[in-house]
Amino acid sequence: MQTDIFFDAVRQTAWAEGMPHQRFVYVPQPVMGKSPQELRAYLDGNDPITGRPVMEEVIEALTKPLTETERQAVRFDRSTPRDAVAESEAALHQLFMDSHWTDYMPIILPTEERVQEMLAGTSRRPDEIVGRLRPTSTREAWQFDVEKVAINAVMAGAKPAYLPVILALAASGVTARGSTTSSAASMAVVNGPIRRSIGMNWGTGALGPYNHANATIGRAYGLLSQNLQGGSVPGHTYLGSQGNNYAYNSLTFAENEERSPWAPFHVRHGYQRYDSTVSCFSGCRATSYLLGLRRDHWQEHVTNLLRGLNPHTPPTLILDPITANLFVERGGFDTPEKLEDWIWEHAKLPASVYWDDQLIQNYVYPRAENGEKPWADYLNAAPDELIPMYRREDVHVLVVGGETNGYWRIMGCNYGRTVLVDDWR
Amino acid sequence: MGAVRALNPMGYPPDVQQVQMAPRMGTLRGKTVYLVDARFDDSDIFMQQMEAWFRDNRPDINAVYVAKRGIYTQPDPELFARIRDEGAAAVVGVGH
Repeated sequence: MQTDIFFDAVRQTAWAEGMPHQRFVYVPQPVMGKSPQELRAYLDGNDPITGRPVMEEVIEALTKPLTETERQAVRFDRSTPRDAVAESEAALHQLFMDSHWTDYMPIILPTEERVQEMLAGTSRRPDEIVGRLRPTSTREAWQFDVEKVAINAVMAGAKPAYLPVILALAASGVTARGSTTSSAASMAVVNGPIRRSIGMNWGTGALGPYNHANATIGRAYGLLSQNLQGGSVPGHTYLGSQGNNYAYNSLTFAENEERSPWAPFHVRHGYQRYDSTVSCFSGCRATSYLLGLRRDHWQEHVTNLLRGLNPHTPPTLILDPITANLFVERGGFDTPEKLEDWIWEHAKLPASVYWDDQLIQNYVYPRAENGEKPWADYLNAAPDELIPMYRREDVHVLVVGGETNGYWRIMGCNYGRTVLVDDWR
Repeated sequence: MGAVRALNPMGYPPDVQQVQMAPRMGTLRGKTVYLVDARFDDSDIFMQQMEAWFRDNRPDINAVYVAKRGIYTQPDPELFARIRDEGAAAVVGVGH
């Protein structure tokens, strides 16, 4: 059973799973929030796709003998041609747009010559396999090589010197074009010497459109994600109800290691200061912000920000160096781990409110039922008992900004992994 | 005017292996049909209403509501084995 809005995605997914004739019955969207009586009316009514009675179709799907077509062997013939050809440059641009290969901003056409120039940015062979990407965990993963990543890097307007970072992003396995109905974007944070050698911005305006490397690496991350995973097409391979403007650049910036009071993010995750890395975060949707940390009530102000986030998506603090130093001064957080501890301890909700959240019902409650900790420990909490909104290991801190003021923000997001850029030079 | 050529930016899709559909049993009379709640956004209420529909309209069919374990993206091998051993068919829903 499915709701009708997902007709195309359902057929496509069933085909890719080897079941092109799988029988489905559809009811109207939405199901969420409807009363039992309203949902019964769906079942007593007609399938919005076929116009036939829903339950008649259900019984028929289970009892009607397989047709000749359903019994036949199917040829799953698909491949990716190396070339894209059109009668003119304008027609080729149109072909890229019509094929859903762009982000609808102008691209650089990836001619053989331009791709060759891009490939000079790495010592890796063009046909070396880089990895696999998929729109979500339940969909098929597509594979790609170095040349395919370089093609997307050209389209984004990147320079060959950026290619190792872009290859590392592609190798992360973390897509920047998740298909989730929640309209999430990704975030990419670069650490180490390559930040400086390719001229990235970690100061004023680092998260904005003010730096060529930040802008085009982030755009390349998005383009390569949608194309190398097999698409990000609304209704088919993208289902985000509202979409997400962060997806244009995937929140790509370098950490301000020079002005941070703490060890850089990558060093806290097992790398050396001289290593160059990129760290991928997903699920970026919610952002809240604050100016500085007031002497008397900073704890309440920060706690209010945390309470404003959805309990399913943990907080990553994105701190201007001014505020990072204020956290050291006000709270005595001489390491970021101490600040993360404090955040985890203060991000709490009454158990009844926590468990009633729709996302917690969908994604956490079933895991708690299966005995997964720490959530299983909270199942018996009294309704008014305050329980942690997040797991401690999911809380993170980053430092970026040019110290024009002490504004800082909390990004609700999930840390995926850190990839060594040096492996892709 | 000559053709203009660029390189295709798409990745390489995996091979697809066809999964044969199960033969249908002709009738559900006297048989057990599992109505599996996929655990997504109130699908429990929907599938319970389906169970009520069977009770009201097809009492000759033993329709059994059951919620799968784990989140909707995870398989539930124990339940799937139970359906295979004890059931004639299953309806899984609701995807939305």
